[in-house]
Amino acid sequence: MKDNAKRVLIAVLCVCLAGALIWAIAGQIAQSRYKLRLKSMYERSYYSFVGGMDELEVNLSKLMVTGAPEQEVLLLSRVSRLAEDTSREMASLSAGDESVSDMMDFVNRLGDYCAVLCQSAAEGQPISQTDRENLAAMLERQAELGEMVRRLDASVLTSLEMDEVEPGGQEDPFSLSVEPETQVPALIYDGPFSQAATGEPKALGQETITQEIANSVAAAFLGTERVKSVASMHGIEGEIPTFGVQVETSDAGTLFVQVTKQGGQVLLVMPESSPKESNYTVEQCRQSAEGFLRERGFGAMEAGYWQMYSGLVVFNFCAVLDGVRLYPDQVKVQVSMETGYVIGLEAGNYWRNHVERQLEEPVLTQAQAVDRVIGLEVTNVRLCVIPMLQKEKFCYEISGQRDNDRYLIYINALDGRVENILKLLLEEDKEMVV
Amino acid sequence: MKRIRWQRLLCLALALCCLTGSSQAVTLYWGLQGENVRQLQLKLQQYGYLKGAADGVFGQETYDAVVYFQRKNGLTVDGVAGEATLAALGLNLSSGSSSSAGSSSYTSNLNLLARLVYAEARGEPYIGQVAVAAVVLNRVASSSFPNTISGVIYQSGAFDVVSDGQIHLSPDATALRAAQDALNGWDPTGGCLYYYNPAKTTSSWIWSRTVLTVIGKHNFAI
Repeated sequence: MKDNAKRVLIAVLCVCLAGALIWAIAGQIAQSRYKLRLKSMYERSYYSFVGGMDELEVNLSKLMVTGAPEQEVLLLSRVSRLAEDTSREMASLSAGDESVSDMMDFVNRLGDYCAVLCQSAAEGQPISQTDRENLAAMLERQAELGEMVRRLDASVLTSLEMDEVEPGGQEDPFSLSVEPETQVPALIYDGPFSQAATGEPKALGQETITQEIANSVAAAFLGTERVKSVASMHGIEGEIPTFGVQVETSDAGTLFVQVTKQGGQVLLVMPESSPKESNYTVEQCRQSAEGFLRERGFGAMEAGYWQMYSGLVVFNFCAVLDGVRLYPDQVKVQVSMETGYVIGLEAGNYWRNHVERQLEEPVLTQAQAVDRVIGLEVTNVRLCVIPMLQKEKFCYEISGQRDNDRYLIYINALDGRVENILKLLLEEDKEMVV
Repeated sequence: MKRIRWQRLLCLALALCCLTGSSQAVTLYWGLQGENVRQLQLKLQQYGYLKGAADGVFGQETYDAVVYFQRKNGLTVDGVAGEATLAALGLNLSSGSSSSAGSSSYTSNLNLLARLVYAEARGEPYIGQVAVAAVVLNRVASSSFPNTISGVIYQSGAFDVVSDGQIHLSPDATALRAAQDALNGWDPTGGCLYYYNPAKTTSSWIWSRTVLTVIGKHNFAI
């Protein structure tokens, strides 16, 4: 009887052991299959990256010897697309994000630069002498990088081991690219990825303030009747240096406020917690925000778009001058639907851009602008200033409908060019532009 | 006596085998649309938690109804209908159908960004969560990084939570709000591209970056 029990036990154990073995082997097989698949994805990225760097050089050098404008448009657009693809592949390599960032920076800027040149070439402007010199310098740099890429160790870039590699260290395959001596030509355009894209704040004023003044500015801005207590916190040493202020309010808990050191203006307000209920309508919230901005001396402002989430509504307000909307001078305001009070504000664009403007007389009439739009049932036309890559543009904003979609088309009021087309995304909880 | 112990062990082994075959869970939260949301709304209506129509859009009313239901039933109150909440409602939803985000790329970007925020900074103060989302968006705008939100988040070695799988956790309502605030332009970092926890970081390279501000446990730098 006892022997029998023992035998059963041994049999059961054997079955368990066999099962575990089969399980382990199956796991091993699956694992190596996954590894191979991952490895081949890394390798695909590696080869596309190396090929892309070569192609960039080839197309750039062709650009140096073509005089034909139509060829130039073609080559410029090819370079900008290749740059985009190559930087994407670079990002999927097994090397860390920090070590590729310098090379990616160059490739992205090259692509951007060519996209801007391509646009003006398509509008009939030939490549200028300065641009040619820039392109030549970039070709030289591209050739250097290409040479470096060919010497890179493919096994490191496609390695499955995710060890931390110190950027610029001995193991970093890209360490060559961070040599400080090789200069990337400074680009003179103000593209979307240009370092100067955010720009100096133009509207802040001159005087500098102290943390104590910042604290009282924050309390006065939110409304002293709401404020329970004020405390200093970390500021930001960014492009626009600020003092941080933490304000306890009676209606919305803690609000974080950033006040600019230069000029003492409120740059940012953020609530820590979100509203719990919604007692106010979007329209009531809009009126509250509008009144708030007026009382704080923001001048004439109009709410363009809004979005509702987490018990609050965000409004995009922009300044208005003689009925012309100034889209670059934007303030975003969050209003609590529970209390109707302003609980958040973002005014970076406003302080960067809000200067006194001299608006020109439009060359096109409203009817001429509308004539340039086809296939759209026009519902509204107004004048506005919009921010573009290089500078602001004075435009007619034409709102219209096609099928069930709404669009905004911007026609340059001075020369009739189509500057931008936006499609409106309308849902129950938002009215916004994409 | 001995036999009983072995039987227990066998049971445990069997249970372990069963566990490995568990299915993928569905999570419904603010901003989602589709059939799964409609199913949730119908259930909430049936039990009297939702008064509005079952329109398949997870908005304020649905959120309120979920919060109400969670509070009444002793669940974690976060306004997100996860596994526990759906089970409590008696719903068994498949992830294959239309639980995905709305049609626009805006919603899917928002969802991805919220997942990163939740995985990276769920223990941080709210402003620190917005800051993490803002760093992702600053990277999108920078030429030194990929040009899309997904490109930045999935860049090799950029975020540990992508390699250790935490990115697949469902975000809570706070992380979603943080992502939305950042997408709307709120940036409490002043344009930072990096952040690190000074108590845990040994890389000398990251220490060489200029720190612009400190929020919660993180240093934010360019």
